[in-house]
Formats: sequence, C-alpha cells, structure tokens
Amino acid sequence: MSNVSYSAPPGIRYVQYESSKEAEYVPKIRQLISKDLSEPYSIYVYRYFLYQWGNLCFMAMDDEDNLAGVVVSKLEPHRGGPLRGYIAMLATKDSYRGKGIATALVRMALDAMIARNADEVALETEETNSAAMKLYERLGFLRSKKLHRYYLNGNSAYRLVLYLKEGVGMIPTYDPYADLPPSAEPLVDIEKNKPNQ
Amino acid sequence: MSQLNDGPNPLALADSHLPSRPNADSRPPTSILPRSDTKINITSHQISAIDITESFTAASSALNTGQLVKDEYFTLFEAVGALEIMDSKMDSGHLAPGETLEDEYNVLRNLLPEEVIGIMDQILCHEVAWHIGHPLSQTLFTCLYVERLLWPEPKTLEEAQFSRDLNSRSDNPLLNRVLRSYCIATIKACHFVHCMVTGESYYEEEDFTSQLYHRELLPKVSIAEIQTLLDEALSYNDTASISPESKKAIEKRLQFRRSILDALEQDTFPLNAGRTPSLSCIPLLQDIKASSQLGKPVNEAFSTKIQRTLASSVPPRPMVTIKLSDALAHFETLCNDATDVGQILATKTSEELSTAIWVFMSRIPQPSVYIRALVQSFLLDRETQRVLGKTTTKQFLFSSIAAIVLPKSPILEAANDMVESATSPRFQMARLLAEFDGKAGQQYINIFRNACLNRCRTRRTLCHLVLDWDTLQADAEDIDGTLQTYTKEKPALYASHQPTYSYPLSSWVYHHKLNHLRQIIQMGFELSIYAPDEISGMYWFLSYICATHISHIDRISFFLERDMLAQEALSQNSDAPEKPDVKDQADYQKTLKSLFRIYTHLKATDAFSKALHALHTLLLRHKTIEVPQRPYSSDKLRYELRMKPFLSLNVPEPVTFESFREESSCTALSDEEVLEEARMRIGDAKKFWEEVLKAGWSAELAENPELNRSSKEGKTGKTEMQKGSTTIEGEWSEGVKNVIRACIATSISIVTLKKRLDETGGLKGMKVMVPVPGEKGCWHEWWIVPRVLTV
Repeated sequence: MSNVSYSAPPGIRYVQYESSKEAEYVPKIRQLISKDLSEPYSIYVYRYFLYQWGNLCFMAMDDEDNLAGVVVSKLEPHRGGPLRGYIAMLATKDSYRGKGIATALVRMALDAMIARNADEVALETEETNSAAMKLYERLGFLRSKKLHRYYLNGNSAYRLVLYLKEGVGMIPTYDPYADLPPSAEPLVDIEKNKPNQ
Repeated sequence: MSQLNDGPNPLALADSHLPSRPNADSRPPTSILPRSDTKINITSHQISAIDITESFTAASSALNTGQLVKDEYFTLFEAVGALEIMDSKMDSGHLAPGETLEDEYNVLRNLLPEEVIGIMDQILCHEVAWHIGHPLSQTLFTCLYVERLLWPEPKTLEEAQFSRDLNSRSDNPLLNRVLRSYCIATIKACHFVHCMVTGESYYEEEDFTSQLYHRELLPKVSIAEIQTLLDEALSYNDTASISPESKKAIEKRLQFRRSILDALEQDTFPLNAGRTPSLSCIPLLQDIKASSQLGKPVNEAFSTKIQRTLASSVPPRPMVTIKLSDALAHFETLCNDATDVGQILATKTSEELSTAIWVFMSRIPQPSVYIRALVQSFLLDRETQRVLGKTTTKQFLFSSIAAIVLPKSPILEAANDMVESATSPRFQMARLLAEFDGKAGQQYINIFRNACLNRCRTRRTLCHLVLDWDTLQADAEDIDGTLQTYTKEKPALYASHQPTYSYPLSSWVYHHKLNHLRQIIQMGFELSIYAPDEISGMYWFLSYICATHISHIDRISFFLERDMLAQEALSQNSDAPEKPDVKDQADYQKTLKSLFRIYTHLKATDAFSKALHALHTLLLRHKTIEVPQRPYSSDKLRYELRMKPFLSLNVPEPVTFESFREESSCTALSDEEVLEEARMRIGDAKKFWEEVLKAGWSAELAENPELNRSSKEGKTGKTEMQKGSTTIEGEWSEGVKNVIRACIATSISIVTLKKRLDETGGLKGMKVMVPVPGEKGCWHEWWIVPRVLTV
C-alpha cells in the first residue's frame, strides 16, 4: 500500500475497493460510470476488473456514502512482455468536478501499480476530452499514438503511455502482426467508451 | 457422463428430470440423485458406475452462493460482449411498454412526389454516413424500403420488390418504378464501394465497417438491368402528372444514380486513362441541393427496430443522421478525388508517384476510404500484379534503384536475366538482384500502399516498417558485398582514410529508411502527438535525421560522380573495347540532378528544423512554454518512450539520452546566440524552400517542361484551377508556399523576441501561442511556429 495519502476536499474520503463489499460498491460504481458511457457495460465488465484487480480500484465517497468518483484499472503483462498497468475507467460526479478528485484517484491507482512492480501504464482518451488529457499529461504521460475514429461516435483517441522503468521500450513483445497466443490480449478494447473525467 | 452402448441406464432416465436451465441461485435438486449411502447396483458389463455424490457436494460447498469464479478463458472480450437481457440500453429486443416488436409502417402506401423526394434524400444521407465509417445497421439498413428489397434475399432483380406477396403489390408507379429503382441503384452502388474497400487494405471499424449482416448488396444483378430500371423510371417521371418542380427534382436524382453507378463500375475496369465520368455527377449534385427543400422527409420509413434482426448481439445503437448538404459535399469531393486520381496514374517515375500520392493523401479532409482503396487497387492490381497497370513490382523496384543509385550499371541490366551460363558474372548478378527483389519488392510497394491509409495508421505502420527496413538494409549490405566481386568494383576513399565501396542496394534502402524516419517525426507534428515542451527536442531530432540523410545523399553522389568520370575516361580512350554511349553521361547527369533535388529539399527541411528548434528552446528556457510537473515521470523515461521507434534501429545509431539533452538544450549557448542561430537558419530555410518551389514537384517536368501533362495550364501559361478539382502540381506548390509563409511567420517571431531580449535582457511580458495543426494560425501542419505577442 502506498505511504502517500492525498488530501481530499471537505466531505470526501478516499476508499480502496474491497471484494467483500462488492454488493454495496459495484452498483454505485456502475451507476456513476454508465452516466458517461454511450453504451453501458454489462456486470461482467465490472466483475472482470474488480475480481482480478480490486486492489487497483479506488473510490471517493461523501459523508453519506454516495460515490463521488472512481477509478478502475488492471495490471498484467502486455503481449508477453512488460508489466503494463491500464486505466480502464475513471469518472467523477458532476457536482464534485474541479476539486482534484480524479487526479487523486489516478495517483492512487498509479501508486498501487508501482508498488506492484509495473513497468508502464497506458490508457486511451478521446481527442476532445481535454480535461482528461491534461490530467494525465500533468502526471507525466505522453501521447504515444493517435487512433483514428476509435470511438463509436467516430471521434479519434490518443494512446497515453507512462514508462516507469528504464529499458521498458526494449522489452520484447509478441509481434503485434503475428497470431497471438490464446492467453494474450483480447481482440476488443473496452476503452472505446472511456468516460469523460 | 459415461458412454452408453445398449441397455437402459438409470442415470440416463434421471437426467431427463433435470430442469433445462437451472437458476443461478438454485441448488441442484437432490431428490433425484441417489443418496450417498445407496448402493449402486448395476449388472451390465459395459457400465461402470461411480458414486460421486460426496465429492460433488464437497466441491459445490467450496463456493458461497454468489461467489465469483473466473475461468481462464473468460477474457475481457467475453466480458465486453456480454449483454443483459431486458436492459433497454443493452437488449435490442427489449420492448418499452406499448411498443410493438416490428415496425407498423406500410411500405406499400401511396407516396406523394414530395415524400418520394424526401425519402430519396434521406437514403442518400445514410449512404454517405456508411461511406464515412458508420455501420449499415445504423444507416442504410434502417430504411424499411431497403430492408424489404433485400430480405428475404432476392435471387433475381425481379424478386427484389417491396412486397414479395404477388397479391399485395402496389400499383403506384412512384413507388414501384421511381423509389424502387432509386433504392436498387443505391444498393448496387454500395456493393461497388464495399467490394473496392474490402479488396484493399483498410482498418475495420476505423475507416469503414464492412458488416453486411448476412445480407447481400445485389451482387449478381447487372448494371444493365439496373440502368433499364432507372430508364423506365425516368420515362414514367417524364409523363407523370406531378408538378414540374417535383418532376425535375426526381429526374435529377434518378440521373445522379445512373451517373454514379457508371462511375463506380468504371473504377473496376483495368486501368482506364479517361477518368471523366464521375465529373458528370457534380452538376446533378448541385441540382439535388437546389431542389432539396421540395422533399418531405418520412421519418417513419426509417427504424432502429430493424437492428434487432440484423445485429442482436450488440446493444441497440442510434441511427446516424448527417445533413443533406454534408452528404452532397461528400459525393462532390468523392467525384473530384476520383477524377484527380488520374493524375496519380499519369506519373512516370517512382519519385513522381511518391510525391503525387503523398500530396493527394495529405488533402484536408483526407480522401474517403473508397478513394484510398481505389488508389491502392491501381498501385498494385490484384490480378495482374502490375504497378499502375504498367510494370511488375520487380521492374518498379529496379527503376527506383536506377533513379537513385545505379543509373547505368551492369547490375540492373534486364539482359542479365537471359544469361544462362551459371559461371557468368552477369548470371550471378541477376541471381543476387532477384534475391534482393524477393526481400525488397513487396516492402517497397507497401510504402505506397501505406500512404493510402488513414493518417494515424500511416504513421503507426511506418513506426513498425522501419524495423523491417533496418533488417533489409543489413541484408542488402550482404548482397552488395557479393555483387562487388562480380562487378569488380574498385574501392574509393570517401570521407575517411579507409577505402570503401559504393554499396548501391543498401544505400538505396538507407535512403528510403531515412525518408520513413523523417515522415514519422513530421507526421507526429501533424497529429499533435508531441507536447508543447517536446517540440524543441523533436525539431532537433528532425534536423539530426536530415543531416544524416544529407551526408548519405552526398555519399551516393560521390560514387556516382566517380563512376561517371570513369565512364567519361573510358569513352575518351579510343582503344576501349566497349565504348560507352553519350547517353550514359546523360543518365548520370539526370540522376545527379535528381539527387540534388532531394538534397535541396533536405537542406530546406534541416534549416527550418534548426530554426524552430532554436526558437522553441529559447521559449522553453524563459518558461513561456508550459512545462508540466510530471511527478511520475523523468526526462529520461519520456525520452525512451518518445524515441521508441528509433532506439531499436542499427542504423542510424540511436542517440543516447545524454547526447540528446546536451545537444537539444543548447546549454553552451547564450540567449543571444540561440536567437542568432534561429535568425540565420530561418534565412537559409526561406532561401532553400524558394529553391524547392522553383525546382517544381517533378524532376521529369523540370527536365522537359513540354511534357506538362498533369498541369491544366492554359495558353497564357497560368495554371487554371477548375472549380473543385485541383492539380497535383497546384497543391504541391501551395504546400511549399505555405511552408514559406511559415518561415516568414517564424522570422517575425524571432524579430519580436530579439527586440524584447535586446531591450530587457529577458522575455518577460511575452505571450506565446503554440498553434495546433489543422486550426487557423497554423500555416502548415508539419511546422509548429509559435506566435509571440507582447502582452
């Protein structure tokens, strides 16, 4: 666990996800995330991340236990090579925006990934989502490539990447053009519907 | 379950009592399972029964009710693909209270002329929405009229009716002839587009969505049949008792369908020099626009309910609507682009082709996926495997090699292929060149194909390609080494004290590889990949690549000149057994001139890069460009990420982070020196870019201006630009002029900064605006010129 704690705005506390509280947390997370999505995720998507990487999920809650913000991420080897963190979902409730909550949540996720030996972190964000891009770029992410018409609405995206260790760029990976082994990355990227910050 | 051979099995009977789909929360019914203390008494020799009750009960108690288990094969793909039934946002079969399963719109109803016009225009909008990448399920296939024609699948054109039931056909000719022919012609046009795009390289769900949902777009129906239908509709329309305005509106729309179908069909013929048919569509598009207000849209004729039968495994997705004016503009651009493709086909050399394709594909907005597929289909015809219908990929490769490194060499002579004696050096040379073709031929043509992808993909693919070209260079070097033994090349002293050889093939590879590296960097500016504070470093790196390339061109020229002089000496020696032709000298001169063009362009790029590097460095130094804190990163780590495409290359040798930092930050130079560097370099840049402009887009044309086949020059010598259609030359020139404008803007910024620096010794009170490519204030998307304002 990270030693750093991020100061929360008044009335807000930061909480790490616990699988024992799945029944309480998941519906709230779903509700907050799905507001920003053009197409909802099924329960399985949430389960997929939270079951395997509950320790990379952090929430901002208010005094009445309402969810003000959440980050959902994962950490696993990328194409058989570097250990890659991936920020899958990030959302802040409208009324709580502009208070640094999203940044704090992302930092907690990054700290947790670093503690678990991550080599790099990646995510995609919509070209027009300047708030999200600024957030990540301020932390140290760079745009590694642009993705044409990545989202269902036809908007393009940028892949943002953060190297955490030297030599990451040279770690061999499966050739992206060759056939992937069954255990390697899925065909579809969930983040096509990445919510706005 | 054990296999049953014969005889009744008590377990089999027990099975049939199990509910077919147990609820997730229910326990397995215990009443039918034998209790654990029940002896199982089966006498058949072929059956061996094992009582698993205990182990089964133990296993199922290992999980709590509602506890999750993840199977290793349940990937993110499965999770994302899952739908929750009865969730209205995910389940397209979910009916809202009172909602009917199917549409209740009567496709056989009598339509007013205005409604027919309205529906036609709505269909056109959907067609264009599909062109730009939206799926048919959200566009054309939402039209109930289209759905009726295509499902169930019609085996003949006659079967494609709005009603399959012969007894309930409508006799309204507006419906049967006019709308039906319009729909059928539209569907067939889509068929052509679908075939063209899916026949070439494209990216699914990026450029285009090819899903047809088990429907076909009338592939077997001939154009002739459809043209007949359209003609019949036009005949009817001519005599119909409807208002003259509506009559004309319908006529133009039907004629447009005729015209575009002709044009699309022509695109599938082997290379056709006369590519004018699509231009006849343009006046019709203008007529359609002029009469659009006559159309009365019929929204009930379009439905998202059809999605249920088309694509039930994905959530319901909204209908995509675009404005008619935008749809018509898209078609107009399509027709102009298709016409301009003729200019690409008319190019004579690989250098011209490269320039023409690059200029064409850099158009804003980029030509549509159909046009980009069309160009690919001409670049390399699938059936004949000919490049632009003329040469083989091997000839194409060799002509490029000849143009850059080997204008006159026994190595490339086609006659070598005819030599049969295996001991002959010419036989060996032919063999080695064939080996090189095997490695390089496909890779070379792929460079041109790659330029036809969307801009993001072009850059991404280049980043992968350079690694292959790095390997190719090493392979080529090996082949060069062997070739030397057959050509008996004498080494020369170039640049160092060690004698060295010309290495023609690997030189050719390296030249192109350096082009790719330069394009990767410059497209990075175009796509806004770099953060504002990265720009200085990237221009430094661009300059570094240019300088490397300039040296390489110099090397190539050196060896060419040596060979040219040797040839000259030989021709003056009247005792020589083989007297070289005067023409040979001309070949060398031509190649050297071509190299000089490349050299000038590189000098221009290099100078401008240096100027912008210096300018951005100064601005960074004085913190007028924002530098984020970046607590999770370090300069070195970001360098590694940014340079990823280049760090694995053997040649050019990767630049270490320390060298990069040292060189690009100009720590040894004062502010005045940095600004002076910027000032001098921008002066050079402007001069070199003017030379580039003067040299023109094509070496061929520079040599032979009378060959001006692609410029639409009038008798006055001024380039005539037809409305909407532009020449490659015109666009290329305009591009270079924009770079020159960017140079001038840079000068202005430098002067403004110098003034402030001279007056105050600093840059306080200066506001810097870093332009965004594509937006106003950016002269050229590859040159990020900061605008400096005094606050």
